[in-house]
Amino acid sequence: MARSNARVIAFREFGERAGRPAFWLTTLFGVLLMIALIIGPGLLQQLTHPAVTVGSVGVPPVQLERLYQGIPHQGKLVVKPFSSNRLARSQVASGHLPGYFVRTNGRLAFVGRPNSTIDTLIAQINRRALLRRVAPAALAAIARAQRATQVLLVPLSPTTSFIVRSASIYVLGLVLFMLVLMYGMLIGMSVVEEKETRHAETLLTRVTADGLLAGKIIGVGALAFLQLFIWGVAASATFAANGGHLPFNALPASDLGLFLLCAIIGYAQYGSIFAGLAARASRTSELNQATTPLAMIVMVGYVGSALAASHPTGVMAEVLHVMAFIPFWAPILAFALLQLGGLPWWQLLLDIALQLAVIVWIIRFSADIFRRRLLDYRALAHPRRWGRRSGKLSPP
Amino acid sequence: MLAALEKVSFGYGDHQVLDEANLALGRGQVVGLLGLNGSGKTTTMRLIANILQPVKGSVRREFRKLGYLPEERGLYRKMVVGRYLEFIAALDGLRGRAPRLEAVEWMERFGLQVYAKSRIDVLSKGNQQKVQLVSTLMGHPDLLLWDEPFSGLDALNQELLVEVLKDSRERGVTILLSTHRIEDLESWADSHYMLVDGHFYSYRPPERPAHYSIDTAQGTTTVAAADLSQAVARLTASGQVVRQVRAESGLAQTFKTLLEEKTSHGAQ
Repeated sequence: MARSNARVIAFREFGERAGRPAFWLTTLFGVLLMIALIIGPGLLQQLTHPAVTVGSVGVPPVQLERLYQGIPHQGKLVVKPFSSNRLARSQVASGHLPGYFVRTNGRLAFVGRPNSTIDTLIAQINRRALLRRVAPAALAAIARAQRATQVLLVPLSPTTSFIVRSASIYVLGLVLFMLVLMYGMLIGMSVVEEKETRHAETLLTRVTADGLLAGKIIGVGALAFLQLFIWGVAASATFAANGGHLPFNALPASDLGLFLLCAIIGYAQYGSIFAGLAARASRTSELNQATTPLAMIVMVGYVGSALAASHPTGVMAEVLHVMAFIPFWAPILAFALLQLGGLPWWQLLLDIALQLAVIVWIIRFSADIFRRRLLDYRALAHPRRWGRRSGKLSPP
Repeated sequence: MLAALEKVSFGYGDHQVLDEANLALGRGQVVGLLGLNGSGKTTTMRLIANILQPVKGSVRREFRKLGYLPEERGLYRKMVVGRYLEFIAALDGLRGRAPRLEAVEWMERFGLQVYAKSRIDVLSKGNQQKVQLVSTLMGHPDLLLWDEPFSGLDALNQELLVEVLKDSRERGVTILLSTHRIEDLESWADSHYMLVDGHFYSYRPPERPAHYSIDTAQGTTTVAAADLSQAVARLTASGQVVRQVRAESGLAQTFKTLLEEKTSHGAQ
C-alpha cells in the first residue's frame, strides 16, 4: 500500500531541479542582478556627479580628499580651503558651494546642503570613527550662527542611511514577492505536469496524496531557499568588495530575521495553495486559469509593498497596517511596513501567530483540494465547489 | 483472494460504467480483462489500485504491493532512466545503495542499461514503455495491473514481456491485464473477465479447443474439433494445400456472442 514517502519526493524535487541548467542560469542571473544593484548606484553617481567642490575651514583639504579617495565608484571631490567661516558662508549663500566642513568644539561639522557625493564622504568619515557625534548644544550653536544655511548632517548623513535602508527593504520585498510567485508557480507546474501525463496515478500507488503534496512543498522550498542563500552571499560579497562594509549595516539583524520569517511563512502559504489550485487543472494550459485568483492576490500584496516604499501617512498607512494581518498579504506587508517603522513587537508576535495558524488551515484546505482533484479530469470547477467532495468524475 | 470488487457501482456523470459488478482475483493467476473501448477496463484497474473510490459496493484489497501500469505513459520525461528507476526503488522503501543496485538489475534484464544516463524524453516510445513496465515490477509486487502493456513494444520486446509475465506467474504474482491481442491473451491467461454493460462475465478457457480454423489458398474454414481430421482429409483430397490449422479462440467467440446478445437485448 502507498506510504507517505514525502522525504523521497522532496529529494527528487530538489535534486532534479537543482541539477538543471535553468536553475543555475536563474541563480546566476540573480547574482548578476545583485551585483548590478549594488555597484550600479555608485556608477550612476559617478556619472551624474562627476565633481563636487566643498569648502573647509580649519580642516586640511588633503585629509578630506584622502578619505574620499578610499571610496570606489564615486565622483571627484575638490576641497577648497577658506580662512574663515564668514567667507565660506558667503560662498554657500551665493550658491557657489553646496557647503563646507568646519571644525567646531573639537568636532567636525558640515554646513550646507550635502548631495550624495558629500553624503558618502561624511559616511566614510563616520565609519572610520574619526569623529564622534557632535553634542546637541554644539549643533544648536552652529545652527544659530549659520542662519543663512542649514545644518543637516553632523557628522553622519542620515539621508544615506535612510535611502540605503529603504532601498534594501524594497529590494528584499521584491525578492519575497518573486520567491512566492516563482516557486509557487513551479509547484503548480509540477503538480499539473504529473496530472496531465497521468504519472500521478502510478505515483499514488506508492505515495499518499498528502505525502506527494508535502514532498513537493518541501523539495521546491529547499530549492528556493538555496537560491535565496546564494543571492544573499553574492550580495554580501559584493558589498564587502565595493565599500568595505556589509549591506546588512543598513538593515539590522532583526530586520533580516523578519525577512527570513516572512519568506518562510509566505512560501508555506503560497506554495501549498498553489499546489492545491493547480490540482484543479487537468492540463498545463489550464494552470494560469486555475491560479489566476492567487496571482492577483500576490499582485495586490506587491502593490502594497511598493506603496509602503513611498512612506505614506494617514489613511494609506493605516490600510497597509491592516493588510499586514491578512493572510497571503501578511508575509509581504509585515516586512514592507519596516518602511513605516515596522509593526510594534506585540502586533508582530500576534501577526506571526495568526499566520502560522492560518498556514495549518491553508495546508489542510490545499491538501483537500489536491486529494480530490488530482485524479479528476473535469474542466476547472467553479470556486464554490473547491471545498466540496466530488461525487462524480469525468472519464479518463 | 488478493483483490475483489463486490457489487461495485461507478460512473462518470450520467454514464454508468460499473453496475453492481463483481470481480475476484486469486493468487498467482494471470487474468485477462476484455472489453470494448470505454467499457470501463481502466476504471476497474483504478478502483483496484485505490485511485478511484466506488460510488456503491466495496473493493477488497489484500495485496501487499501493487504494480500499476496505466494506459497513458506517464513518466518524468526530463529525468535520466537510471535516476528515475532509483527514485522508484526509493519509493518502495529501499535506502542507501540498494535503489541503485535494484535499478541496475532491472535495466540489465530489460536491455535498458545503455540508456541508463539518457533522458527519458529522448528514448523511443517502446523504450519509454519498457521503463514504465520495469517501474511496475520493481519492489516485488504481488499484484500487477497492466493496461495495454504491449502497445508500443516491438516483436522482440513483446516476447520479453510474455517471458516476464510467465515468470511472474510462476513466482505467485497475480496479473490483471487488458489487451486487444485476444488470441495471445487466451494462451497466457488462466481466466478472463469480459466487461459488458457494466457487468463482468467470467470465462475460463476449455481444456481443448472447440473449433479450429483451417487456412488454405482458397480461404479459411472453421470446423468443430470433432470434424477436424475429416475436414483436413477432404480439403487435401480435393487438391487444396492446407497452410495452417489454428485453434479458434473460444474467448473471442464468446465475447462476440455476449456482445451480440447484449446488443439485441438492449434493442428489445
